[in-house]
Amino acid sequence: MMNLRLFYAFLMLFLPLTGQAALTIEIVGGAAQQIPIAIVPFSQPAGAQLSSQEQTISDIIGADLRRSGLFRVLETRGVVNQPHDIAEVRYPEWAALQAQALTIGKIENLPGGRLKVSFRLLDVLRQNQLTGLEYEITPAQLRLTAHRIADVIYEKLTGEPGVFSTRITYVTKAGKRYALHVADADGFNPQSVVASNEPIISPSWSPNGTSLAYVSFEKKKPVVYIQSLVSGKRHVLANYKGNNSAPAWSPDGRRLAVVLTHAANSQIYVINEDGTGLKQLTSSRRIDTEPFWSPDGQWIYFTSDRGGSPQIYRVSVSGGDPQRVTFEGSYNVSPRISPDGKSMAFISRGQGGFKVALQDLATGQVQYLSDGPQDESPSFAPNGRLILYATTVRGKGTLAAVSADGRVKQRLSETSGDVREPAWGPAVK
Amino acid sequence: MIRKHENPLAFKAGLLSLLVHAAFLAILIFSFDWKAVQPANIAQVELWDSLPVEKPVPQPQPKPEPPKPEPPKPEPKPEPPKPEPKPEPEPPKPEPKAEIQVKKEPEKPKPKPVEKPKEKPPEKKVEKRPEPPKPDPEELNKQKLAELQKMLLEEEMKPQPSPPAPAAPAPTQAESAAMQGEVDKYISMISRKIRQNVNRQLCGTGKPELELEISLMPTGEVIGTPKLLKGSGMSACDEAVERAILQSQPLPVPPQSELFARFRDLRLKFRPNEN
Amino acid sequence: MNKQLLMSALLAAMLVACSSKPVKTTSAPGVEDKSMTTESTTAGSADGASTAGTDTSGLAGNPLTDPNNILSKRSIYFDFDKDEVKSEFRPLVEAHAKYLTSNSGAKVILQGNTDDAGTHEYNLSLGQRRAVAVKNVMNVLGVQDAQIETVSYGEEKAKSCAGDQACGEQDRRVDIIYVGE
Repeated sequence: MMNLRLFYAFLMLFLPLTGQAALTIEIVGGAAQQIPIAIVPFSQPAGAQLSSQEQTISDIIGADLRRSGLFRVLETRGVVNQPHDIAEVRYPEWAALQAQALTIGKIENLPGGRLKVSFRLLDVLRQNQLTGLEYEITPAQLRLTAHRIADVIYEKLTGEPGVFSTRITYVTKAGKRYALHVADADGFNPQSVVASNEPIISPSWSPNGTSLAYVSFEKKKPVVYIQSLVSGKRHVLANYKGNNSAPAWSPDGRRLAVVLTHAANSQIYVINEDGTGLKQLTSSRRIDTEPFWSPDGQWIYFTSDRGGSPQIYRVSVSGGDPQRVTFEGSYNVSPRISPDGKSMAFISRGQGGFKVALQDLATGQVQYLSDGPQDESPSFAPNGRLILYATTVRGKGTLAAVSADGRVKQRLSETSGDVREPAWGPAVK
Repeated sequence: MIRKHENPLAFKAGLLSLLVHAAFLAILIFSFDWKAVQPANIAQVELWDSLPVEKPVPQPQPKPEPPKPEPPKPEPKPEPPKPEPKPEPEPPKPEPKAEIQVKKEPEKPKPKPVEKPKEKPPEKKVEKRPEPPKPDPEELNKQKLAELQKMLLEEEMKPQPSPPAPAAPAPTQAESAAMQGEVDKYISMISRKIRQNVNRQLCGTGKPELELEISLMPTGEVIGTPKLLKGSGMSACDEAVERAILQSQPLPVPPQSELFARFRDLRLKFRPNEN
Repeated sequence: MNKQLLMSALLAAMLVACSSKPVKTTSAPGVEDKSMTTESTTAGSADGASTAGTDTSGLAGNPLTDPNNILSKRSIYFDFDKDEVKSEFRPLVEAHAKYLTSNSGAKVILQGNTDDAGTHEYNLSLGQRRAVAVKNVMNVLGVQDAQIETVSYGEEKAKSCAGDQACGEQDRRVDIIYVGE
């Protein structure tokens, strides 16, 4: 017997492990849409005079993550044990809630009226910490800190950078009054940048997020301005005879493409940020408009009806013959290239009206992302995952967003004014 | 007399019982609330409630201090100590299909038809998706191993008569088919349960494939953490798949120990972006 | 049939305008009287206002604002997605061209407009193209570029039509605006 055992053991050495087939199970596809996360309300200093916002820091984080469409934020109000320190965390309780991740945090007073905000992101299933950070801030920075925490959580769990700390711009029209606004990506803290009794259109962010170029009709004709968001000062970029419109910044922020009609029909020009160095880029006898730079700064995509109907073309920044880019459908306008340069959002007019579409620039495949019938002004979030655009609901202009894969759709609730012409600001450095 | 005695105790017991009932009721109510509040449909999620009244004074650009990483990562709970992986003393880890026949050893008294050829169909079935047929030397090894195992057990169970046949005694055709059916059933249950939790949104747009290895307790719980054999190239995808496995605990495993042994070590292959 | 409808609509609009204006005059006598119900001044620019006009005797009145004079008509309407000047508006453009060639100091802004279907920038260009189309007709009739500026308001003045083409009819137009008015 002993011999046999030995022999058997000896034989074991020669059996390759792969040969000992552990049962193999194949799992194809996946049904989960979101990461379930619980966010315990942060502890706050007793009697603290925090900002008078209705939302607490954990509310803001939860709203951000929920809005991304990738997270299911679990309700924690009824949970008896609300941990703020890691020692207080009882993982099985959170696992029982089906949470995969847990966020706990604290707000503490510091001398001089400052605050210390600290948080930890915990893996409920593996029962360990994924990350933990602390910030020293003024109370006025609480909202921004909440957004930054949401960014960290988002990036840790999805591998993508978050965009919750970014800003958006849009135009509102109320009666005869137009105003250009800048707000946080969640719509809070809107500030009016310029207001007028004449239309404002086509706002465009400088790549570093400190300026906006826009078109204003205050001189009873379209003129392009560049305005600093820091100082509030502005200068005229282009006011040639005829129309001046469609400003688009180059990725290095030094030049802009614009559309001028001083020669005849709308044509695309490139001009320095200070208004010097005007150069014509397209010359057709038709409409060439809506320029947009590729992220590598090499190409300008634009709308043209040189082929008979409006389609999207691209031309090398150094000049040359434009190449046609869209071939599906009879009306394709408003090109916007994704931050990674691989796809293009645009507006396509078809049976269902005007919709947001997305074209893979390598394969030419087109996907329709929105439902129309009057969608326009698509604008990518800086992480390329969401596309902000203008739509109409019950006759009123509203902002909406759709994920680049079409799965997540969101809409701004009704507001008093008419909202249009949105543009998503760059990532905050 | 007895009644008198009972009363004080009964009172306390009743109170305790009431408290416990109340506590459970509270938990039930609250837990019910949790589920009710979870948004069922993410298709229309409000971006924000309303644009508040704008402040006329432009605010300065606030920038918080650069975040300080938390140096003392306070000791989180230590990894749960890996329980003894093999509660069963024997048989040892490699358990090829031939194992079935080993398990049937105790039933030896039953007549055993020749089933060497019959072994093969069950084996193929378990392969499920086409896997390359096992190379011959492995088959040979397995059979040899099976034989040895059988002989080993035979030795131990001395009183049992043991035909020294190279084809080890195996279950009847019906029995082996039934067992195979059970195995298949649990395979598909495990696959479905894990699939429910796989979040393919984190796996990009390509066609990633992943392979992980896990070990299970008879309770269906995963021992330790899954081992990544082949990653997708995207850490968020790898982690999402691992989470899906862990979230699926306890995995459905057959209660019969001889069947469970097949499931003790599993290799899981994922193709999250396929349908 | 469309043309007749349009013309009758225009005429009706003019009549309506006329009848309402007296209210203004009585309350603000200092305001320039654009109403025509009492005066009989007419377009009558000696250089021959177009015979399509309803009046002839030209006297003190400003021909550009005389509702009996075709020159007071300032809008040329276009079909959906189109920028061709339709023949029914030829006389109107000719009238203004004549005025401009005879008054070299006069300048016009041709302001292009579209309905609200489509993007703001593309409609800005489309409106511009309509303005340029009118300018081209004027050029052929002898008007110099120095007297013409073309601008576009695109869809900015359009009413909300949700893509209904008939609804946007009035929005698809070029307005002739004399500098100094």
